[in-house]
Amino acid sequence: MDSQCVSILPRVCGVLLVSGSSLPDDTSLEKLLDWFTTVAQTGPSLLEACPCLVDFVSKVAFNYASGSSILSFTLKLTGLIGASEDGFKVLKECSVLKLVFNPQHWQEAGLWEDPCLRIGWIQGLKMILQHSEALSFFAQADLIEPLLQLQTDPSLFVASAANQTLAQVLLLCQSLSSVGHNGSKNRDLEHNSEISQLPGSQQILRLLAMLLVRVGPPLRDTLLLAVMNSLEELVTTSCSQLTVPLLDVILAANSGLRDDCVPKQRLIRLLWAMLNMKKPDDVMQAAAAVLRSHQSDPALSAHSARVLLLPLDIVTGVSLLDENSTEGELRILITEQLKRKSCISMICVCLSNIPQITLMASDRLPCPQRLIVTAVLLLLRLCCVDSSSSSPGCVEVVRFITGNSKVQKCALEALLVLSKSPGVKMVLVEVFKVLTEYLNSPSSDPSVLQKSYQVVIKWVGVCPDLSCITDQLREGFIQAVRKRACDTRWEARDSTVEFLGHLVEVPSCWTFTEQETEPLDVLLGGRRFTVPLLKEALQDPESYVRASSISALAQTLAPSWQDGTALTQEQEDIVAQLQEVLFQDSEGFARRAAVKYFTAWFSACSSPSSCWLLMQSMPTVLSQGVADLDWEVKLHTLELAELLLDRAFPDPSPSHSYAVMSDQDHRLPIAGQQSDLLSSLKNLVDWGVVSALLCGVVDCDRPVALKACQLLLKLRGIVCPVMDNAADTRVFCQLAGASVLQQVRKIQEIGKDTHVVSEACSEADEEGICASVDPECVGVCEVLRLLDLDEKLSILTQSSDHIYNSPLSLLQDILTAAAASSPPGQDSRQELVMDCY
Amino acid sequence: MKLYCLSGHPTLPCNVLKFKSTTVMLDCGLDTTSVLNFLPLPLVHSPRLSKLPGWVSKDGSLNLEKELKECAGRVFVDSQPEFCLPERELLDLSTIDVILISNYHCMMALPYITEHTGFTGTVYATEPTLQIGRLLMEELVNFMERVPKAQSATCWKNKEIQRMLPGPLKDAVDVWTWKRCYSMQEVNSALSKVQLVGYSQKVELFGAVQVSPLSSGYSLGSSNWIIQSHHEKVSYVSGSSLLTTHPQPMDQSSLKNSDVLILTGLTQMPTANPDGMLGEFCSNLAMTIRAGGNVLVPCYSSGVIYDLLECLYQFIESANLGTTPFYFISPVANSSLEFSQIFAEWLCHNKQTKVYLPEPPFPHAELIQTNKLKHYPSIHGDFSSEFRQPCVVFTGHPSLRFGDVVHFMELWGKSSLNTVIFTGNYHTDFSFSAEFINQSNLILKLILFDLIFLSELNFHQVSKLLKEVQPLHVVCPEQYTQPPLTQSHRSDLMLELQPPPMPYRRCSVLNLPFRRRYERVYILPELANSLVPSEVKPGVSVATVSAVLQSKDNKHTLQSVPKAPPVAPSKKRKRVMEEPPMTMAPKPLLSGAVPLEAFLATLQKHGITEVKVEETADGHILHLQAEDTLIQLEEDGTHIVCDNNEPLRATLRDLVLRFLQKL
Repeated sequence: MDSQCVSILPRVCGVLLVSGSSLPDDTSLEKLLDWFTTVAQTGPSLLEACPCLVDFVSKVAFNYASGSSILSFTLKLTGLIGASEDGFKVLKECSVLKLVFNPQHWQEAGLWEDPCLRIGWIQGLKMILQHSEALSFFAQADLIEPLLQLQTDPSLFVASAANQTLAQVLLLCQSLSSVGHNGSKNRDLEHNSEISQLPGSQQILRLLAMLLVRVGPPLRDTLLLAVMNSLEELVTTSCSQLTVPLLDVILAANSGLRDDCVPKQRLIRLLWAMLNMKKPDDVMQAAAAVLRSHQSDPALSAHSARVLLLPLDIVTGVSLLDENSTEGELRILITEQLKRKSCISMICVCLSNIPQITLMASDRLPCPQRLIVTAVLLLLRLCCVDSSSSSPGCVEVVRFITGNSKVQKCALEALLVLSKSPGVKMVLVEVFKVLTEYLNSPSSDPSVLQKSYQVVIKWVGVCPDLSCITDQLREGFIQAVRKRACDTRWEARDSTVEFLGHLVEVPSCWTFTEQETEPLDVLLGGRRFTVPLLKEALQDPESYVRASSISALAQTLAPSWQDGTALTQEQEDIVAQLQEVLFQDSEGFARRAAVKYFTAWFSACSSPSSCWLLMQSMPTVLSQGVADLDWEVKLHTLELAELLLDRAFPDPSPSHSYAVMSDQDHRLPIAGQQSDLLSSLKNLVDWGVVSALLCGVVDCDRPVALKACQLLLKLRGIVCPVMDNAADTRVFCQLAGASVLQQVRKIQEIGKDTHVVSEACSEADEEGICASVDPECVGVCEVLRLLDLDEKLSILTQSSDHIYNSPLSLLQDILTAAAASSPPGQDSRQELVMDCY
Repeated sequence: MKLYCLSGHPTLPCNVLKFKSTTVMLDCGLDTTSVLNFLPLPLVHSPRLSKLPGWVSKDGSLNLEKELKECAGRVFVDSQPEFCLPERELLDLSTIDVILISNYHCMMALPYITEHTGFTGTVYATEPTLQIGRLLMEELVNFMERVPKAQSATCWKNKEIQRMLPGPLKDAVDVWTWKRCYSMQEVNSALSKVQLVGYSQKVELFGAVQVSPLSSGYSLGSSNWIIQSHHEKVSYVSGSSLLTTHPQPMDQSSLKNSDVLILTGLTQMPTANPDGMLGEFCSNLAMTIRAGGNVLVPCYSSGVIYDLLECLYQFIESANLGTTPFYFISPVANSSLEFSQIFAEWLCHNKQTKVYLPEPPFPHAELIQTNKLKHYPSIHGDFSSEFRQPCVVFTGHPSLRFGDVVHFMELWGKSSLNTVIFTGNYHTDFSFSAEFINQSNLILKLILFDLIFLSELNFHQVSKLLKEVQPLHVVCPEQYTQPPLTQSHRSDLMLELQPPPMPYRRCSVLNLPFRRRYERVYILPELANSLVPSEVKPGVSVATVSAVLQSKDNKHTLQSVPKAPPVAPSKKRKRVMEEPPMTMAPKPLLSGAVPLEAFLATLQKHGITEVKVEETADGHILHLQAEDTLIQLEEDGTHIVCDNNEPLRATLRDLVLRFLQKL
């Protein structure tokens, strides 16, 4: 801990003690507490580090006039100090503990009404409850009663914190198997057993669920025994609001139990009871919860699956469930419900649980998965505005679900998952038809379109044979995609363009005749269809679409880059367009994508150096990218530079990295190594990598400067040891940015190496390379040496706000704010006191 | 009250309402679907059409080569297109007093009704309706007259022959009543009978009923009509829209409290998402142009085209269509575009405010200024020198049988790159056109959009409207009482009301289900002065009136009975005819009830003691046994039955009268 902090802490405590003294802002106390917490966790003990705190706590405890936020802070702080046994002892000795945690004390002072104080009390208590000493204190002081009362506190925060603290008490009881605390535990249990009579049963159920997950066997069994009757009672009264918390409790209890124990049987009975309630919504919720909890009882989960599939069965008329089943009554209830507007949520619950159903073993499924796919497809048809298909199922529901994008999205989501199910490949054509219908429909919401595209990708990806896609189907699909690429809504255009990119990445499949085909070719007729569409999208008025089209182009062309196929005129056009984007586009998204395009190209290209267009465009991309206004564009540019750097100086072979490189190796390189390095460095300069890095390192955006700095260090590590001794091999680099030049100049003036720039130029002049004296030329190695990169790196790695967030600064702030508001009688910050806990 | 339905077309209605003593025709739409049976009228010689084979029946017995041509398996009449007129046999059209026009699309049959039928009444319409209606009629006449057909096919209409014809021709109804297009002269004559009205203006018809137009939001100057008397109200809702793009919004509140609401002009298109449809129109257009194809939009020269142009105006730049030319070709293109800008008072508020700014209400003015939209009267002349492809062409007629559109169909029909986009009501108007394209070996792409919804109420909106307006009875075309044929499961696409709507079809005569119960009668002040009201129960006073009822111009007035003229000096000249009405003091009217107990007591006082009281359903029967007399006391009458004992009857009568009030 900073000694400076320690020295001013007493003054800060003094300031805090003065009632009404102002704080710099309402989070300072929180920050202070955070700092103390860190100190307590990292250091030996909080009291050792800041002995003045005990004094502070005891003073505040007697000073009612302190603001409620200070009191709350003090309570929490007391908890923090008391969390360690030493601290606890000290507190106990100076009899602060009893006073601070005595609710009576605060009630008499009239401060208990403030929820801020109550939450402080609870949290302080929770923090202190770490050891047996604290637990016995808790029991002796009889704090369980007030804590239980706080469970039903009008403030939700207080109630929830009280809940958690109660759980903490029980867990502590469990971990310290010491007797003596049984009193408190049992009282708690008794209290819990009264849940059915309390209006705040929801809170208690939540507590129970929380406890049941965390407690171990002996206590859990006692707990279960105590509450079982109440739970049974609650299930029979079946209050809709309690369904979810009740389920959580039952499932939490159920999860840890062995199958043969008695409570388990009772719990299973409870679940059955919940699945047979009279309210369809509750039953559906219960069934969903049972499925999600991966119940071990096969009959139970099979029944849940049947319940969840019922709405789908009724709506579509596809008989997923055999008629002579037991859920006849439920079927009638659900059918009634489906005739009302609320059917939407019910259908959505059904659809969103289909993934769980598909995970079940096939012998427990009420019907083959193929049938579920058929039903979902029919439902999708019914939902589509332009579709003319009708169902043998519930007719009334059609008016609510037609055109409802929520149902559409849920159904598409279900279809997405169902692609994995066995034996459903046969319906690929149907799926494809429905999806084309959705893509074609003018009333499809953009989010529905996006989902449809995802489903296409998924289904095409899992289907080994796409020969079933006939020319007619393909034509319809192509038309739909083409139309969506011209949609008036940018979201639709964006999803379409993204889809075109993703489709390329779907792995190839094998046709019946063992021919390898790409899904892109099968669905859209290949790149000759997509590339022109994507090129059009480069001109899109919406920047997101432009960005997506650039990424999609990169995805589309990646295979040809990998193969090293010759460049086409089309690709040249695209490169020209992308450079235009880099230069002129007003939005960052598009420019970022453009830089990434070149990165993708470079990394995919098997031999970049032989691709003239790629290498030719590098200097432009790098110089433009690093001078961009958007920091992400700059960062992406540096990532590209890194690729080039790695390419120029490939990693030494693996054996090398483990071998100890002696200084000798560095100092006396063989001539060949030097000349290789020289030519690589020259290449780097030619590509514009070095100037980009030098530009980046003085960038005002920290991440950019950091990245550039790291790369320069890497470069220095490779180049300087080898090149330092080679006097005749200077490599010069032109600097476009003025700021780096200035910085270099500044260093020149301070340092002694004044020759870097001038000499470089004069030498260049002498050699006739540079016709005129170019003041923007610098020698690479000299610059790398001159710039204090290590110092720069250490500054840059610290987060930009490291100064402002230090504890010292916090303490100083508190002092300054107090000094500023010192004129007595003026309390300008009164209005800022908030209920902040 | 009766409704005669002369047209079965739901969006081109023609109904006649007999209400009180008036006969009111509601719209006279022209059903143009009949022209779909005819071959298109090309503007320039079309080798494809001229080479079509004539039709000969399979067994060769029927040869109508000259009249009927076969094209892709369907038979078309090779003659000037003919229209199916509103029914003229159902009632004598000369008895029609007035014709109320709701919008310019629903008046195209006007010359057929007003000319050559003996019609002597008045036509009421708003100014934009008249002016734009005139443009559309002019355009129609122009389309027909510039490509005259020498021959007129009539043989196929012979009942015996028609029976043997294939396909839709065989099933066409009333083909003998089909008529060729009217002439410009007839148009002018018909339109000269139009009297202009403004929204909410009240027009008296013979004092019997009052009619007044309300804004309907469908098109410029479009209206719904209210026909009301003092105690009855009939609302006529024709093409209306709640989604107002440019016209004044629909006036719904005035439709409240109608006894009968006649509902026509709904769209059965399921979708209710206009943005989606307009967006779809734009994306299809852009898609075609980008692929190097041309777009043909067959449309009427007024109405939805303004909205389409406005939508495109916003879309052109963002879709990089800045260089693509847009052509609007119609004999009345110029007038239509300009008219729309000057009817400021008929526009919606948004557009009205633009009138006060230095910019025109519709953005198509800017499209014209910047040369993006060019308009021409026909494909001949300037257009041919300016024509550049790929382009977008808006032109008529939407039936694809006549007008400049025929030329473009011939020109572009052979390439699948080109697209024709229908913006009409597909289900009712142009299903045949679509079929025609499919069957004419034309391979251009066909896209159908029901953009009519832009200007027509859909079922969702209608049910909302009816909930708010609460009419007692609804009358509508039978098509609206069942889901559309293509989507039989959509029970939401039909009218479901309580009581159920009364459906009508062509030639229906409906007795509207309400009786007129009241008639307003005026009392002259001096007569009113002479009345002596007496209160029968708190707040209700009654007086007897003796007066002369005068009925004139459907107005009824009670006047004082004229004093008897001095007795004529000469009895010889006395004539029955001139005798003034007899003035007799009216008998007093009685009211009240006879209380049984009190009445029995009174009888006893008068010596009648032996009374047997019998209770009946309506009151009591008193049997005076000694007198052998019956007194029936009932709610609405008292009878004394006694044989030949007049004094007793009189006594009893007076006893009864004691308990009653006299007026």
